[in-house]
Amino acid sequence: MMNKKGQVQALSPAILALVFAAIVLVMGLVILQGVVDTRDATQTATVANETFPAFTGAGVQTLGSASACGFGTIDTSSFVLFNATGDIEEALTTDYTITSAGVVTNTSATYSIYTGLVSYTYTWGGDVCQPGEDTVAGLGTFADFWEIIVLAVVIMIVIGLLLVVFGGNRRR
Amino acid sequence: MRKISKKGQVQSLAPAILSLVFAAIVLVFGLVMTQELRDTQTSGTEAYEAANLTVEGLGTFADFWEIIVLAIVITVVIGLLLVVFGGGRRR
Repeated sequence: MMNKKGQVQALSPAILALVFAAIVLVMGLVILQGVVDTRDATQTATVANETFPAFTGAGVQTLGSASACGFGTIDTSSFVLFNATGDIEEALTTDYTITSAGVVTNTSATYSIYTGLVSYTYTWGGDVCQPGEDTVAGLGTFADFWEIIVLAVVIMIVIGLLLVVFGGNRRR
Repeated sequence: MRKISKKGQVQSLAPAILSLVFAAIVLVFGLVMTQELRDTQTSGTEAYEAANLTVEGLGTFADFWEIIVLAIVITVVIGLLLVVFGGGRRR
């Protein structure tokens, strides 16, 4: 049986359920992000003879590994830069500088237009990092749907009320 | 015939999200533990390769969270709308 009192009184538990669900979602996302972030910079990887693009424009290049998931730092002491054929090692400071963030700056015009080869070690989040980030992002998509859920609740209440009033005796 | 109630539709949302969050945390913890176990082995050994495939295989689950979330939202919204527009037959 439908009645006005019942329709309006459905609003409060519905909002309560929505708010509770939202709190659970946000807390879950925060916890999950915290767990995933603990993996940052925990794994060490070695890169050998990776192609290094030629310096162009400002003479600055960023290593590809700097965009790895959960990237920590480049071990600058392990970094070596060779010319493209791998027979001439360029000199740190004289030919280039490197930061732990993986930014290599050209300080010499000699090899600036040629590609090179680089070897180094760096820390990153490991194989767990990307699935972890994907999980946070995937659960986060729930947030896109709150509006439609709220709309459905409102429609349910409003249409329900209108049906009670205008639906006639058959529905009462 | 099974009864569809408004209360049931909206209140199924919180347990669904709770289950999702729990499953996600279990997945991530499971991946972390599997990776740590894998790293106890020497790279190139069969145990390492098998563990590595396990980490990668479990990791692909992360690609499907969006579609699972979408399915839950559709269930709740369509369920709510059916309560109102489904007519007396469904009540």
